[in-house]
Amino acid sequence: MTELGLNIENLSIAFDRGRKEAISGLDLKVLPSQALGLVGESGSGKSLASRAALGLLPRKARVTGRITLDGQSVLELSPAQLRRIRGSGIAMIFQDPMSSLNPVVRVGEAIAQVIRSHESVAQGVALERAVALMARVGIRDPETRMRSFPHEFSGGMRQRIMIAMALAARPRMLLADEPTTALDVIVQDGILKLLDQLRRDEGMGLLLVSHDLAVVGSVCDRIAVMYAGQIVEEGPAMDVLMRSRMPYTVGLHASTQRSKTLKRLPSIPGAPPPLGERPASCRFAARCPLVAPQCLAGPVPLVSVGSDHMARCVRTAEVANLDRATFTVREREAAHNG
Amino acid sequence: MVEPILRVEGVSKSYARRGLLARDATTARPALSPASFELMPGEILGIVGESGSGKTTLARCIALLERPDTGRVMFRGEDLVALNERELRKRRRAIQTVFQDPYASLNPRLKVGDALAEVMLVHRLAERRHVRGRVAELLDQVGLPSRAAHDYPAAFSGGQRQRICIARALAAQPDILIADEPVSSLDVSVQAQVVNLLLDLRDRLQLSVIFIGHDLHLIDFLAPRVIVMLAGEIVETVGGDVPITDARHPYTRALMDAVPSLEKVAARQSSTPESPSR
Amino acid sequence: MSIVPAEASPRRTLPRWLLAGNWSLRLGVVGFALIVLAAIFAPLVSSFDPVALDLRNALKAPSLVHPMGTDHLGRDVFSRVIYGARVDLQIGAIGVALPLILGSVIGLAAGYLGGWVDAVVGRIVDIIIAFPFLVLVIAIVAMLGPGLINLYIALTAISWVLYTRIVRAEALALKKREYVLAARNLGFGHLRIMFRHILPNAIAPAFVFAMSDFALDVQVGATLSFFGLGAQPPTPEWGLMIAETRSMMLTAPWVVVGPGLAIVVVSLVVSLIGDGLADLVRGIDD
Repeated sequence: MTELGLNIENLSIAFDRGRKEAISGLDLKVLPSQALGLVGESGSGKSLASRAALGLLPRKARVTGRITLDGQSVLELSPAQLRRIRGSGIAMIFQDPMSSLNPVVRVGEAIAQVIRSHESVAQGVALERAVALMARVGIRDPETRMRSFPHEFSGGMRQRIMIAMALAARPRMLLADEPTTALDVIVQDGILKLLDQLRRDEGMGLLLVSHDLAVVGSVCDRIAVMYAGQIVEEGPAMDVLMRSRMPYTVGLHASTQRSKTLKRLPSIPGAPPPLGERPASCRFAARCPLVAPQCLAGPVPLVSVGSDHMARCVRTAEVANLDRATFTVREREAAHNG
Repeated sequence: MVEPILRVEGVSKSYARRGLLARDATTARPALSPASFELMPGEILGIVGESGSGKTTLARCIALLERPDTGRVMFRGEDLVALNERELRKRRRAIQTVFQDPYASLNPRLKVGDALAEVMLVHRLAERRHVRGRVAELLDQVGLPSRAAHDYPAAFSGGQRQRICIARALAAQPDILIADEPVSSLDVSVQAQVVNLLLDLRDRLQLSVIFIGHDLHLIDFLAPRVIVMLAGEIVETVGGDVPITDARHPYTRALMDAVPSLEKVAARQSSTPESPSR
Repeated sequence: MSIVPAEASPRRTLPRWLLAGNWSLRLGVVGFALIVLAAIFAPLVSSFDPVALDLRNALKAPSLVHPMGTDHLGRDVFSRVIYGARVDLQIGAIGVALPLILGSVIGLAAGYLGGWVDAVVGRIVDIIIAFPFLVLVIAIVAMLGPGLINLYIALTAISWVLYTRIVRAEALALKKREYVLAARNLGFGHLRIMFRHILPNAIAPAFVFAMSDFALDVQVGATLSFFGLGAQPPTPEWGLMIAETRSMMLTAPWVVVGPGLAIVVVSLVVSLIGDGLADLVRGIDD
């Protein structure tokens, strides 16, 4: 039986002749019509993981593991097969739409090109469908705007055009890598709502990659948190957001808090360990307020902490003692511990 | 009564489209309609708006990186707009800017220490033999180790680069720091660190800060008074006695609503049986 | 956003880049260094005086004593090629250095200052570029009189425009960069901003171009000497050597093979460096 959707199994990617492991043993599954949010700081490997799913990997990368799309192994495809799969099987939108759009091609034409590269339809038909797609992604007056060039659009509108191009080949899976990071909040809100609506209407799988827990939370039903190349927590969105069992997720949650009762914004102290210097034990230990000797003893496995909810932490029981607003150990508990 | 350190009076700017022969005044689009406000010593003033709202143009006019078409920028009783380039150059260090893109804000061929030292040497703010010590102090002030001075910008992450940019601005011993979307391109977790750094510096150095951004929740956290801009105009100033939640202008409300927050997520996904614990 | 996370990029310095891969640059630098060393230590490399006549041994085919044979006056072709490198490399070096310096400064000023400076420079560049390069060089040297000094003047007077165009375009893009805005904001003077903050970031493509220009200048120098407008006899210079012996080319081909090969090898080595530098520049910028 073929597994539908995007399935990443035990994926590891290393650079520098294997010395610098960017992703270590990643497992990820996006079912059709499901939205999975992949959250992490820059350098966590989240973008690399999403690109690997498209077969877009730097030449010097060493890859082990399996990536399948609807049962077909992505890593074993020839470049020609990959091209066919990109677009119709799986499509991607990036943070900076301008660098992915050809500046001298009118946007209607650009969308029509994608349609015609995957289906043999007449140019006229393709252009009509391009207009319909532009209307679908919320571009006003598409009949006129299809004749505009990319630079004539604002950043948000350009991202909508990128989405229209991604939808042009009717993909079964959409990867969105920081699609709203370069945009301001009002435009971001519009794009997120659009992605959510498209996913529901088209039955597409969606993998949304972002550094912002709140962005991911507003669209996705499942959330996976990545830290230093590993999944450290994964589960239903509400469980990960509101009942997180991994201190790092609590820290990310806290750093979105803007409570005026605090004098300073809560933040996670320090920075992630650089590539090649990641410890074999818990990789978050150096920044964790709950760190204990057993955290440094050895590799920490992902453990089940609820129905369909997993965390990579040896002190999952104590995580409840963390103050979710300030990312500090609650007074009483701190006294109790030491 | 305390005098404002900066008074912006009717500053406006429009960018003329280049015509075939000369600048064509008729097609000029106003990037900034006449704007006026005051900045008090030690105050953090927020400016919020979407892209294209004119907030960056306003910032550049205040720092005189753009010459305003009209209006006055009164700093310590002197109109900076009226000064010629030579006189202005001597006063520029008083108003410093931290820009949005930390990857474009540092000269890639200058070591961090040299970039900081240059500022102090040009303005004779430190003697040559004390410069290295001052560089270490500045790096320490922004939370970087002193060995960072020996590296090129390429060795640093976005958040670290923004700290270096802040250190470079501080090297000029400014009175006013304009932070033009300093955290918009940083990870949420790093944003908090940089914002806290700005708050610390304000407390320690008595800096006046103009903080520009599009995240109204964030700006509301650190700025008691917030100017809201839309299409080149100041549409509202909130703060002081009026909490931001009581903002009247519909645009301010739209900005509030657009920020994704976990509280909203919780409300949306309220179908889950157990209520979120806090 | 780059695919490799920021932490993955090693601290980049030029020497390490030289060590990592980039075969064309390594090969080019080694080859060029060997040629320069041979030119400097010419008396050690060849045992014959390049201008001493030895009519009894005229037009001898290559042998162990004369690896490239002798010319119609009995001079050792190999020695003349080696000593000729001094002249031809000098033509290349000066013919590149002067226009590079002059052109970069003018291009920097035009790009950074803009306004009328840019307009005037732009028109002059357009006019000079409109003429064929070689014709213009020959015209100027013919006007000033033959000789190497006048060749340098002609080369400088013309090829600066190429460097100006390159550096101006870079400066135009860089002056909108935020670190240049920051420099202005910090109250730095125009000269400091131009030479410390813009030029070091704008000059790399000019250096890449300088390599192909070097080869071109060597060829132009040889060409003009061939026509009697550059180096004068008995100076050993490759173009001149070919000119002097071209009538014997069919009976004693070695007399032109030596200098001809030298021109080809220098051009090749220099373009290898150019290719390598181009890769390097791309690598640093990404």
